[in-house]
Amino acid sequence: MPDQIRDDVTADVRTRTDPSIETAQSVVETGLDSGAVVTIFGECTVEYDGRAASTLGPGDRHVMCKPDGTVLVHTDEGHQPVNWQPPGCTHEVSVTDNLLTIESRRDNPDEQLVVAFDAVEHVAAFNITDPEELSLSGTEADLRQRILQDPSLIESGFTPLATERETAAGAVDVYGEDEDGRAVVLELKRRRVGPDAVGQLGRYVDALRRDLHAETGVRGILVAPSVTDRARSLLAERGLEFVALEP
Amino acid sequence: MAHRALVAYERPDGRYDVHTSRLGGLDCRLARRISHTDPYASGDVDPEPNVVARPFEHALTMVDLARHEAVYRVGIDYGIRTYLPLWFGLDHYVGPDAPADRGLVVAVDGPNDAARLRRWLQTAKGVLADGISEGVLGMTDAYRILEEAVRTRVDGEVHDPWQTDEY
Repeated sequence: MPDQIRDDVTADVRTRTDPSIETAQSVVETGLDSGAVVTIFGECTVEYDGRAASTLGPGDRHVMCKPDGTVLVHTDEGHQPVNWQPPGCTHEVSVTDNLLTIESRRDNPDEQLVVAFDAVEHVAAFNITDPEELSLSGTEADLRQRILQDPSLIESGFTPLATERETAAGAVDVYGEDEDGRAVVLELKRRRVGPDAVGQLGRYVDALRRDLHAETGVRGILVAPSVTDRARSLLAERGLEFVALEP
Repeated sequence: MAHRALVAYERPDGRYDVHTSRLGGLDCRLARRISHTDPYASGDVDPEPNVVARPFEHALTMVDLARHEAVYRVGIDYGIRTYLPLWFGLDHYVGPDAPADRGLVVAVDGPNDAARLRRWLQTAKGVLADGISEGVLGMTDAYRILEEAVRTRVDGEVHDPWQTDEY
Protein backbone atom coordinates (compact mmCIF):
# COMPACT_ATOMS: atom_id res chain seq x y z
CA MET A 1 0.00 0.00 0.00
CA PRO A 2 1.50 3.36 -0.92
CA ASP A 3 2.57 5.57 1.96
CA GLN A 4 0.23 8.38 1.03
CA ILE A 5 -2.96 6.40 1.55
CA ARG A 6 -2.08 5.93 5.21
CA ASP A 7 -0.87 9.45 5.75
CA ASP A 8 -2.38 11.41 8.55
CA VAL A 9 -1.42 15.04 8.37
CA THR A 10 -2.83 17.87 10.45
CA ALA A 11 -1.31 21.17 11.48
CA ASP A 12 0.20 19.52 14.57
CA VAL A 13 0.65 15.87 13.54
CA ARG A 14 2.39 14.18 10.64
CA THR A 15 2.45 10.38 10.61
CA ARG A 16 3.33 7.57 8.22
CA THR A 17 2.57 3.89 8.70
CA ASP A 18 4.88 1.36 6.97
CA PRO A 19 6.90 4.15 5.34
CA SER A 20 9.88 3.58 3.11
CA ILE A 21 13.19 4.33 4.81
CA GLU A 22 13.49 7.54 2.76
CA THR A 23 9.98 8.71 3.74
CA ALA A 24 10.71 7.96 7.37
CA GLN A 25 13.94 9.96 7.09
CA SER A 26 11.98 12.89 5.65
CA VAL A 27 9.40 12.86 8.49
CA VAL A 28 12.13 12.63 11.14
CA GLU A 29 14.30 15.32 9.59
CA THR A 30 11.54 17.83 8.98
CA GLY A 31 10.07 17.09 12.39
CA LEU A 32 13.33 17.66 14.24
CA ASP A 33 14.08 20.77 12.17
CA SER A 34 10.69 22.25 13.09
CA GLY A 35 11.06 21.55 16.82
CA ALA A 36 8.53 18.69 16.88
CA VAL A 37 8.55 15.61 19.10
CA VAL A 38 9.38 12.71 16.79
CA THR A 39 8.61 9.04 17.44
CA ILE A 40 9.76 6.04 15.41
CA PHE A 41 8.65 2.44 15.87
CA GLY A 42 10.39 -0.48 14.17
CA GLU A 43 13.19 -3.02 14.33
CA CYS A 44 16.47 -1.42 15.28
CA THR A 45 19.81 -1.83 16.97
CA VAL A 46 21.09 0.59 19.61
CA GLU A 47 24.75 1.39 20.24
CA TYR A 48 25.87 3.56 23.13
CA ASP A 49 29.40 4.77 23.61
CA GLY A 50 30.43 7.15 26.38
CA ARG A 51 31.01 6.65 30.08
CA ALA A 52 30.44 2.97 29.30
CA ALA A 53 29.61 1.13 26.09
CA SER A 54 26.63 -1.04 25.29
CA THR A 55 24.89 -2.66 22.36
CA LEU A 56 21.29 -3.72 21.97
CA GLY A 57 20.80 -6.29 19.21
CA PRO A 58 17.93 -6.16 16.71
CA GLY A 59 14.48 -5.81 18.25
CA ASP A 60 11.25 -3.80 18.07
CA ARG A 61 11.61 -0.49 19.87
CA HIS A 62 9.80 2.79 20.18
CA VAL A 63 12.16 5.75 19.98
CA MET A 64 11.23 9.30 20.95
CA CYS A 65 13.33 12.36 20.04
CA LYS A 66 12.42 15.62 21.78
CA PRO A 67 13.28 19.10 20.56
CA ASP A 68 15.38 19.76 23.68
CA GLY A 69 17.76 16.98 22.56
CA THR A 70 16.36 14.18 24.72
CA VAL A 71 16.26 10.70 23.16
CA LEU A 72 14.33 7.81 24.76
CA VAL A 73 14.44 4.19 23.57
CA HIS A 74 11.55 2.10 24.89
CA THR A 75 10.70 -1.58 24.70
CA ASP A 76 7.38 -3.09 25.79
CA GLU A 77 8.47 -3.27 29.44
CA GLY A 78 8.82 -0.83 32.31
CA HIS A 79 8.46 2.90 32.55
CA GLN A 80 12.16 3.56 32.12
CA PRO A 81 13.70 3.63 28.65
CA VAL A 82 16.27 0.92 27.92
CA ASN A 83 18.56 3.63 26.66
CA TRP A 84 18.42 7.40 26.53
CA GLN A 85 20.22 10.67 26.08
CA PRO A 86 19.51 13.73 28.25
CA PRO A 87 18.43 17.19 27.08
CA GLY A 88 21.09 19.15 25.24
CA CYS A 89 22.18 16.46 22.78
CA THR A 90 22.30 17.04 19.03
CA HIS A 91 20.52 14.72 16.60
CA GLU A 92 21.77 13.62 13.16
CA VAL A 93 19.55 11.65 10.79
CA SER A 94 20.91 9.71 7.80
CA VAL A 95 20.28 6.71 5.59
CA THR A 96 23.20 4.39 4.97
CA ASP A 97 23.04 0.84 3.61
CA ASN A 98 19.23 1.18 3.68
CA LEU A 99 19.29 1.74 7.45
CA LEU A 100 17.62 4.81 8.97
CA THR A 101 20.15 6.01 11.51
CA ILE A 102 19.49 8.45 14.36
CA GLU A 103 22.73 9.60 15.94
CA SER A 104 22.57 11.54 19.19
CA ARG A 105 25.74 13.19 20.45
CA ARG A 106 26.67 14.91 23.68
CA ASP A 107 29.97 16.74 24.11
CA ASN A 108 30.39 16.94 27.88
CA PRO A 109 30.78 14.15 28.78
CA ASP A 110 31.50 12.75 25.32
CA GLU A 111 28.63 10.35 24.63
CA GLN A 112 27.05 8.97 21.51
CA LEU A 113 23.87 6.97 20.98
CA VAL A 114 23.21 5.45 17.55
CA VAL A 115 19.86 3.88 16.73
CA ALA A 116 19.75 2.11 13.35
CA PHE A 117 16.38 0.96 11.96
CA ASP A 118 16.31 -1.64 9.21
CA ALA A 119 12.52 -1.39 9.06
CA VAL A 120 10.24 1.39 10.20
CA GLU A 121 6.61 0.47 10.89
CA HIS A 122 5.46 3.86 12.08
CA VAL A 123 6.90 7.33 12.24
CA ALA A 124 5.28 10.50 13.58
CA ALA A 125 6.09 14.14 14.26
CA PHE A 126 4.00 16.04 16.81
CA ASN A 127 4.06 19.78 17.24
CA ILE A 128 3.37 19.98 20.95
CA THR A 129 2.21 23.07 22.79
CA ASP A 130 1.79 22.60 26.50
CA PRO A 131 -0.52 25.29 27.81
CA GLU A 132 0.33 24.48 31.43
CA GLU A 133 4.01 25.08 30.83
CA LEU A 134 3.24 28.28 28.96
CA SER A 135 1.07 29.51 31.80
CA LEU A 136 3.86 28.88 34.29
CA SER A 137 6.59 30.58 32.32
CA GLY A 138 6.85 34.17 31.39
CA THR A 139 5.94 37.12 33.50
CA GLU A 140 2.84 38.06 31.53
CA ALA A 141 0.97 35.21 33.20
CA ASP A 142 2.41 36.01 36.61
CA LEU A 143 -0.08 36.48 39.40
CA ARG A 144 1.94 39.43 40.63
CA GLN A 145 1.72 41.16 37.25
CA ARG A 146 -2.02 40.72 37.22
CA ILE A 147 -2.35 42.28 40.65
CA LEU A 148 -0.11 45.21 39.71
CA GLN A 149 -2.19 45.81 36.59
CA ASP A 150 -5.50 45.45 38.44
CA PRO A 151 -5.04 46.07 42.19
CA SER A 152 -8.80 45.86 42.74
CA LEU A 153 -8.37 42.06 42.42
CA ILE A 154 -7.20 42.32 46.05
CA GLU A 155 -9.74 44.88 47.21
CA SER A 156 -11.15 48.20 46.25
CA GLY A 157 -8.74 51.02 47.10
CA PHE A 158 -5.61 48.85 47.31
CA THR A 159 -2.53 50.63 45.90
CA PRO A 160 0.66 48.65 45.26
CA LEU A 161 3.75 50.66 46.20
CA ALA A 162 6.66 48.26 45.74
CA THR A 163 7.63 44.75 44.77
CA GLU A 164 10.48 42.92 46.46
CA ARG A 165 10.43 45.31 49.41
CA GLU A 166 13.13 44.14 51.80
CA THR A 167 12.25 43.31 55.39
CA ALA A 168 14.19 41.60 58.15
CA ALA A 169 12.27 38.43 57.21
CA GLY A 170 13.15 38.67 53.50
CA ALA A 171 11.78 40.49 50.47
CA VAL A 172 7.98 40.68 50.23
CA ASP A 173 6.29 40.14 46.92
CA VAL A 174 3.92 43.10 46.93
CA TYR A 175 3.84 45.92 49.45
CA GLY A 176 1.16 48.58 49.30
CA GLU A 177 -1.49 50.59 51.08
CA ASP A 178 -5.19 50.16 51.57
CA GLU A 179 -7.68 52.97 51.09
CA ASP A 180 -7.20 54.04 54.73
CA GLY A 181 -3.45 54.37 54.24
CA ARG A 182 -2.55 51.25 56.21
CA ALA A 183 0.48 49.23 55.04
CA VAL A 184 -0.45 45.95 53.32
CA VAL A 185 1.76 42.93 52.67
CA LEU A 186 0.67 40.39 50.06
CA GLU A 187 1.89 36.79 50.18
CA LEU A 188 1.28 35.25 46.73
CA LYS A 189 0.98 31.51 46.18
CA ARG A 190 -0.06 29.64 43.06
CA ARG A 191 -1.29 26.53 44.82
CA ARG A 192 -3.56 25.66 47.74
CA VAL A 193 -1.68 26.58 50.87
CA GLY A 194 -1.45 25.31 54.41
CA PRO A 195 -0.49 26.74 57.79
CA ASP A 196 3.17 27.33 56.91
CA ALA A 197 2.20 30.01 54.39
CA VAL A 198 0.36 31.73 57.24
CA GLY A 199 3.56 31.46 59.26
CA GLN A 200 5.56 33.10 56.46
CA LEU A 201 3.06 35.90 56.08
CA GLY A 202 3.09 36.47 59.83
CA ARG A 203 6.88 36.83 59.78
CA TYR A 204 6.71 39.52 57.10
CA VAL A 205 3.96 41.40 58.91
CA ASP A 206 5.87 41.27 62.21
CA ALA A 207 9.08 42.44 60.50
CA LEU A 208 7.30 45.34 58.80
CA ARG A 209 5.60 46.37 62.03
CA ARG A 210 9.05 46.63 63.60
CA ASP A 211 10.45 48.50 60.56
CA LEU A 212 7.57 50.93 60.43
CA HIS A 213 7.11 51.21 64.21
CA ALA A 214 3.46 50.44 63.51
CA GLU A 215 2.09 48.16 66.21
CA THR A 216 -1.24 47.49 64.56
CA GLY A 217 -1.18 49.29 61.23
CA VAL A 218 0.16 46.50 59.01
CA ARG A 219 -2.25 44.13 57.29
CA GLY A 220 -1.17 40.79 55.87
CA ILE A 221 -3.12 39.19 53.03
CA LEU A 222 -2.53 35.67 51.75
CA VAL A 223 -3.37 35.42 48.04
CA ALA A 224 -3.77 31.86 46.71
CA PRO A 225 -6.30 29.66 44.89
CA SER A 226 -7.45 28.20 48.24
CA VAL A 227 -6.35 27.48 51.82
CA THR A 228 -6.70 24.47 54.09
CA ASP A 229 -9.15 24.65 57.01
CA ARG A 230 -6.32 24.80 59.52
CA ALA A 231 -4.64 27.62 57.61
CA ARG A 232 -7.93 29.50 57.57
CA SER A 233 -8.32 29.22 61.33
CA LEU A 234 -4.67 30.26 61.90
CA LEU A 235 -5.23 33.29 59.65
CA ALA A 236 -8.17 34.28 61.82
CA GLU A 237 -6.20 33.74 65.04
CA ARG A 238 -3.35 35.88 63.76
CA GLY A 239 -5.61 38.62 62.39
CA LEU A 240 -4.46 37.94 58.84
CA GLU A 241 -6.62 37.81 55.71
CA PHE A 242 -7.13 35.67 52.62
CA VAL A 243 -8.05 36.55 49.04
CA ALA A 244 -8.84 33.66 46.66
CA LEU A 245 -7.20 34.20 43.28
CA GLU A 246 -6.37 31.59 40.66
CA PRO A 247 -2.90 31.93 39.09
CA MET B 1 6.88 35.06 49.33
CA ALA B 2 6.04 33.57 46.01
CA HIS B 3 7.70 30.17 45.50
CA ARG B 4 11.32 31.06 46.07
CA ALA B 5 14.25 28.76 45.40
CA LEU B 6 18.04 28.73 45.46
CA VAL B 7 19.99 27.34 42.53
CA ALA B 8 23.63 26.29 43.02
CA TYR B 9 25.58 25.90 39.77
CA GLU B 10 28.77 23.90 39.89
CA ARG B 11 31.84 25.64 38.52
CA PRO B 12 34.78 23.94 36.81
CA ASP B 13 36.68 24.17 40.12
CA GLY B 14 33.98 22.09 41.89
CA ARG B 15 32.64 25.01 43.91
CA TYR B 16 29.24 26.61 43.36
CA ASP B 17 27.71 29.93 42.33
CA VAL B 18 24.36 30.44 44.06
CA HIS B 19 21.49 32.21 42.30
CA THR B 20 17.96 32.97 43.43
CA SER B 21 14.60 32.32 41.79
CA ARG B 22 11.28 33.89 42.75
CA LEU B 23 8.99 31.18 41.37
CA GLY B 24 11.37 28.26 40.89
CA GLY B 25 10.20 26.50 44.05
CA LEU B 26 6.82 25.70 42.49
CA ASP B 27 6.48 21.98 41.79
CA CYS B 28 10.26 21.51 41.49
CA ARG B 29 9.89 23.08 38.06
CA LEU B 30 13.52 24.13 37.62
CA ALA B 31 14.67 20.50 37.61
CA ARG B 32 12.93 20.23 34.23
CA ARG B 33 13.61 23.69 32.92
CA ILE B 34 17.32 24.29 33.53
CA SER B 35 19.57 22.95 30.78
CA HIS B 36 22.91 23.83 29.27
CA THR B 37 21.07 25.63 26.46
CA ASP B 38 18.86 27.52 28.91
CA PRO B 39 20.79 27.65 32.18
CA TYR B 40 18.57 30.31 33.77
CA ALA B 41 15.27 28.74 32.64
CA SER B 42 14.17 31.63 30.44
CA GLY B 43 14.45 34.15 33.24
CA ASP B 44 13.06 32.04 36.08
CA VAL B 45 16.50 32.18 37.70
CA ASP B 46 18.17 35.53 38.37
CA PRO B 47 21.26 35.43 36.14
CA GLU B 48 23.21 37.50 38.67
CA PRO B 49 24.72 35.18 41.29
CA ASN B 50 24.03 35.92 44.92
CA VAL B 51 27.37 34.46 45.97
CA VAL B 52 30.14 32.85 43.94
CA ALA B 53 32.66 30.06 44.40
CA ARG B 54 31.36 28.48 47.60
CA PRO B 55 31.28 24.83 48.63
CA PHE B 56 27.78 23.36 48.30
CA GLU B 57 27.40 23.15 52.08
CA HIS B 58 27.77 26.93 52.25
CA ALA B 59 24.91 27.23 49.77
CA LEU B 60 22.78 25.21 52.18
CA THR B 61 23.44 27.72 54.95
CA MET B 62 21.83 30.35 52.70
CA VAL B 63 18.53 28.48 52.79
CA ASP B 64 15.74 30.23 54.66
CA LEU B 65 13.76 27.15 55.64
CA ALA B 66 10.49 29.08 55.97
CA ARG B 67 10.90 30.92 52.70
CA HIS B 68 12.64 28.71 50.20
CA GLU B 69 10.60 25.90 48.67
CA ALA B 70 13.41 24.19 46.78
CA VAL B 71 17.16 24.07 46.34
CA TYR B 72 18.67 22.87 43.08
CA ARG B 73 22.21 21.58 42.73
CA VAL B 74 23.21 21.86 39.07
CA GLY B 75 26.27 19.81 38.15
CA ILE B 76 28.86 20.92 35.63
CA ASP B 77 27.19 18.49 33.17
CA TYR B 78 23.77 19.99 34.01
CA GLY B 79 22.68 16.95 35.95
CA ILE B 80 20.28 18.41 38.53
CA ARG B 81 19.59 17.28 42.09
CA THR B 82 16.52 18.73 43.82
CA TYR B 83 16.29 19.37 47.56
CA LEU B 84 13.28 20.25 49.67
CA PRO B 85 13.71 22.51 52.71
CA LEU B 86 11.57 21.20 55.57
CA TRP B 87 10.74 24.02 57.98
CA PHE B 88 10.09 22.82 61.52
CA GLY B 89 8.91 26.25 62.75
CA LEU B 90 5.84 26.03 65.00
CA ASP B 91 5.60 29.66 66.12
CA HIS B 92 2.54 30.31 63.95
CA TYR B 93 0.77 27.45 65.74
CA VAL B 94 1.88 27.86 69.31
CA GLY B 95 3.23 31.39 69.66
CA PRO B 96 6.51 33.25 69.51
CA ASP B 97 8.31 31.09 72.08
CA ALA B 98 8.80 28.37 69.48
CA PRO B 99 12.15 28.59 67.63
CA ALA B 100 11.47 29.62 64.03
CA ASP B 101 14.66 28.58 62.29
CA ARG B 102 14.77 24.82 62.79
CA GLY B 103 14.55 22.26 60.01
CA LEU B 104 16.31 19.98 57.54
CA VAL B 105 17.00 19.95 53.81
CA VAL B 106 16.36 16.63 52.07
CA ALA B 107 16.91 15.31 48.56
CA VAL B 108 13.72 14.49 46.64
CA ASP B 109 13.01 12.54 43.47
CA GLY B 110 10.64 15.02 41.88
CA PRO B 111 7.50 17.08 42.33
CA ASN B 112 5.32 14.18 43.50
CA ASP B 113 7.85 13.10 46.09
CA ALA B 114 8.21 16.72 47.25
CA ALA B 115 4.43 17.23 47.45
CA ARG B 116 4.01 14.03 49.51
CA LEU B 117 6.75 15.06 51.92
CA ARG B 118 5.38 18.58 52.24
CA ARG B 119 1.88 17.26 53.03
CA TRP B 120 3.27 14.77 55.50
CA LEU B 121 5.32 17.46 57.28
CA GLN B 122 2.31 19.74 57.49
CA THR B 123 0.24 17.00 59.07
CA ALA B 124 3.01 16.04 61.48
CA LYS B 125 3.52 19.66 62.55
CA GLY B 126 -0.20 20.07 63.10
CA VAL B 127 -0.35 17.01 65.37
CA LEU B 128 2.73 18.07 67.35
CA ALA B 129 1.43 21.63 67.67
CA ASP B 130 -1.80 20.23 69.12
CA GLY B 131 0.25 18.24 71.61
CA ILE B 132 2.18 21.34 72.66
CA SER B 133 -0.98 23.44 72.94
CA GLU B 134 -2.62 20.77 75.09
CA GLY B 135 0.41 20.63 77.37
CA VAL B 136 1.22 16.97 76.70
CA LEU B 137 4.38 17.63 74.70
CA GLY B 138 7.36 19.92 75.22
CA MET B 139 8.86 22.03 72.48
CA THR B 140 12.19 20.23 72.58
CA ASP B 141 10.46 16.85 72.33
CA ALA B 142 8.45 18.04 69.34
CA TYR B 143 11.57 19.03 67.40
CA ARG B 144 13.32 15.79 68.29
CA ILE B 145 10.31 13.77 67.13
CA LEU B 146 10.13 15.72 63.87
CA GLU B 147 13.81 15.29 63.13
CA GLU B 148 13.76 11.56 63.88
CA ALA B 149 10.63 11.11 61.79
CA VAL B 150 12.18 12.86 58.81
CA ARG B 151 15.38 10.86 59.05
CA THR B 152 13.36 7.63 59.28
CA ARG B 153 11.12 8.54 56.38
CA VAL B 154 13.71 9.87 53.93
CA ASP B 155 16.02 7.33 52.29
CA GLY B 156 18.36 9.76 50.59
CA GLU B 157 20.44 12.76 51.61
CA VAL B 158 19.35 14.65 54.71
CA HIS B 159 21.19 17.85 55.60
CA ASP B 160 21.00 20.03 58.64
CA PRO B 161 22.13 23.33 57.13
CA TRP B 162 23.68 24.47 60.41
CA GLN B 163 25.50 21.25 61.27
CA THR B 164 28.40 21.84 58.91
CA ASP B 165 30.53 19.27 60.68
CA GLU B 166 28.60 16.52 58.90
CA TYR B 167 30.39 17.39 55.63
